[in-house]
Amino acid sequence: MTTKKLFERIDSVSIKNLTKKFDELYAVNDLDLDVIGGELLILIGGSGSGKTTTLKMINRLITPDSGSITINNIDTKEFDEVTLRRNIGYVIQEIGLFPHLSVKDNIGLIPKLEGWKEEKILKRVKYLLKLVDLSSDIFLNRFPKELSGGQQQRVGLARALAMDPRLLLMDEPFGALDPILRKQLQEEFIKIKKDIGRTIIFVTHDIDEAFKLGDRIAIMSNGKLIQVGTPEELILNPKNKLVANLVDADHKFRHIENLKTKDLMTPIDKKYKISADLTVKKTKDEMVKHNIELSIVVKDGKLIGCISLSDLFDKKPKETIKKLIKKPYTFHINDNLSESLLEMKKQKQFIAIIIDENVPVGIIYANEILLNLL
Amino acid sequence: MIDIILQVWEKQDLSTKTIEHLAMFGWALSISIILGIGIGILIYKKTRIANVVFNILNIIELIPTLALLILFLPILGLGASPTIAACILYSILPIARNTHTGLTNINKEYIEVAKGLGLSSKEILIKVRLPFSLPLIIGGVRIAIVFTMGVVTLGGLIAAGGIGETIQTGLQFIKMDIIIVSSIWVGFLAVFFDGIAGFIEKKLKRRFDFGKSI
Repeated sequence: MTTKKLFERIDSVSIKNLTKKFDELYAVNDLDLDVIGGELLILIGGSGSGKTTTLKMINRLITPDSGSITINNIDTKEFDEVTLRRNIGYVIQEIGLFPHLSVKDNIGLIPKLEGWKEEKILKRVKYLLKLVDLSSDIFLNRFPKELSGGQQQRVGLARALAMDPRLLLMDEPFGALDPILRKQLQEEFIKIKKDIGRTIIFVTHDIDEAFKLGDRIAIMSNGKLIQVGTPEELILNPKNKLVANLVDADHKFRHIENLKTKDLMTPIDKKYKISADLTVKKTKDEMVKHNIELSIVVKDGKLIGCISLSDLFDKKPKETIKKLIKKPYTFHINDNLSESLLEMKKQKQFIAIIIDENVPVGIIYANEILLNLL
Repeated sequence: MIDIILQVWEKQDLSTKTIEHLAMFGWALSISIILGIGIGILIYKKTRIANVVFNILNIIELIPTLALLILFLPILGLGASPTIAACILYSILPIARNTHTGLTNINKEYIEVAKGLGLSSKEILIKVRLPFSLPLIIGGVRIAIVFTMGVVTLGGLIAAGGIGETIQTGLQFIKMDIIIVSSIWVGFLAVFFDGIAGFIEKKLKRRFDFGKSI
């Protein structure tokens, strides 16, 4: 049996009016949520918030009472259950691997049922083990009980990727691991995520994990969607107290009061510094070569001013840049960060140079989010 | 001592009797395993039918062996066939019951993971439920081995041949040497086969027994 690929890529996963009751309790209550193709969407909430139920309704492990889930505008009910699930990767926490099957057989289970040739399965399994940073030589023929928790989770992820699914559902995949290992696997997962470039729906109850991994975060409580947005959106405009508490918006705000400009500045790379004696053409060439928009003009190491690439256009190439140098906004490295930013906000400045004894050492980019925090 | 054993063995042709005995035993056990596991699989999803089937099998289990053999007389006559039939009727219950228990008492999370990965019900049965049930199934087979060995021996009463017949001969002529040698021999066979099954069970348990939620 060969299952056909239902989708070459995911454009959208759209959840509409989704409702599921267990006995008299709403597990999921009239949920609307759109997942954008290619993103990693976090579903976060306490236990009983309905996040796992929602996830299981996407691959139809749970049948909704009402509402619909569409993938690329096709209702999932129209697919054969088994076909649908083989097109969606599924990773869960703890009991995930089959204890009676070796690592190879766990990962190669569905390919085998799909009738793949033995060599093709082996090749795929080896590739996936490498992807999750496990050595084929050591782990291929091991059984799950011979693996550590972290190794088991890696194999679980490899198995979910066996059929190269375009959509991946992950239910607290790192939940059972100790904090240090969890951090490590999260870091690795970020790398893998880049490599595979899939649409991922990821359930967690850990807000740090959500901020770390999520492109967007959907916050659920009592079966309802409270708010969905990027981490910045949630911090800046928490819809209610619950969201504010969860993202710890107050705390982050307070935190900024204690910072100095040097805490946030980006150190200046050598390539940003240019001499005031250069011609327009030479400066332009340098900036284009280094792919930078802004240069800091220095003399004997001391700050003279700055110049942006756009200022150099339609100027005579032979001229020196002296006349074009602008006075930048500057702060001292030990200035209070929030006061400095506030000042920049007032002056509508988005870039400031940080100096130490008149030597430029860093740049602060104040994006809107940062300024809105104040 | 060894002389007596050899004498009885030769006079009573225990080699041939043992072959007869084991042939009946083998047939009966094989058919019981096939039917038992088959029934277990057929009814594992249908709780109500399962209850009916197990009630019937339980009732059969209660009929004394001798009575069952005699009940078969009008239908199957004398000899090996009624003996094998009786063995099967007794042995189906432990195998079918253990198969059923094994298939239904799997940790639900494994089933859900299997579903989530995209296994069909049939594939879950073959790839997950059955392997997980193997230790219990072989446990049922062990019970069946003991039953079958007993009933086959009793078959000597209705001219089924085998070692049971030798014991009958011994009883008829009150020959203690024959009785003792053949009884010990059949006892040894029972222990031997149970031992093999026990060994397999242990191996399977080590490989397939994973925190069942019973």
